[in-house]
Amino acid sequence: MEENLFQFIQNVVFDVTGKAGLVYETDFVKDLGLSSFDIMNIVCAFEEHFDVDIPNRDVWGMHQVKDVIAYMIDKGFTEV
Amino acid sequence: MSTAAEKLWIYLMPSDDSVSTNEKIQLLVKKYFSECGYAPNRTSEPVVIERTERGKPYFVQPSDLFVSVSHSGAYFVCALCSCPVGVDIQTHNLHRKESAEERIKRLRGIAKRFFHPDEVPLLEEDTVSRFFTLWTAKECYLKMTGQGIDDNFSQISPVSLGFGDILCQGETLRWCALDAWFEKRQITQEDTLCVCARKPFEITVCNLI
Repeated sequence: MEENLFQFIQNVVFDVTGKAGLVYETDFVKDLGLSSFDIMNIVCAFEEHFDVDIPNRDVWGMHQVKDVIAYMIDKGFTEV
Repeated sequence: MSTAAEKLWIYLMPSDDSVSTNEKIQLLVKKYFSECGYAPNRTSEPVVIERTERGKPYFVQPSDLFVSVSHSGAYFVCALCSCPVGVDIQTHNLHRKESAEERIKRLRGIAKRFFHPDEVPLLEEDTVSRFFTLWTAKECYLKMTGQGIDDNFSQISPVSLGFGDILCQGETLRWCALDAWFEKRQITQEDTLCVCARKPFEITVCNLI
């Protein structure tokens, strides 16, 4: 399941930003150089896919890919 | 503009990952002191940069100077000012597999999700330009306050009543809101920059690209 979620995250990030080469420890800001606008676009893509609202405070607590995977599992966002 | 306006300098540099943000800031502080007419010994002062819990950079030394940085697309931007300052630049890049019409729809959706309710109707016309004006205005304000983007992002409207009129005034806009002074500029047709400060300011833009 984690691998499927990881692939999903990779696809969304690439579609939104054109950035690739993610690993589980990739930091969205420090490693990929994403801006707040990039991150908001990714959040909207996630929200549209899962038909949910993700609080901003949750968004800014997820710094690395593995944080997103853990969040998705915790919230049940696993149907990718 | 007040005759006592603060000096605010904007430096535009290439978005170069081989040089760290702190190294860029240290270089630009020396340029700032040199170019703003400060005493010559100020250019040799040590520059000590720290960050708040939310990642906002500030100077431990020189303590009379304030900084804000931003990067998007090809640009790295650094604002230096003698009062608290925030800057944001945003490239209007199209996503892959997205038409111009799809981009407008996406931006309006983001606005409904993240903007103040009063701001959403303003995007019915000239969506792309107005969206990035509003986005960079909100971002630079939150950078100035050090608040960062949190659940209050949608509650902050860094515009006074009648922003529709302000939006129509052209590529360079100036206005006051939330006890701050704002100025928005188009660096290129596809790159919007907004800066704000706690006091009226006179802006100088140095393009180092």
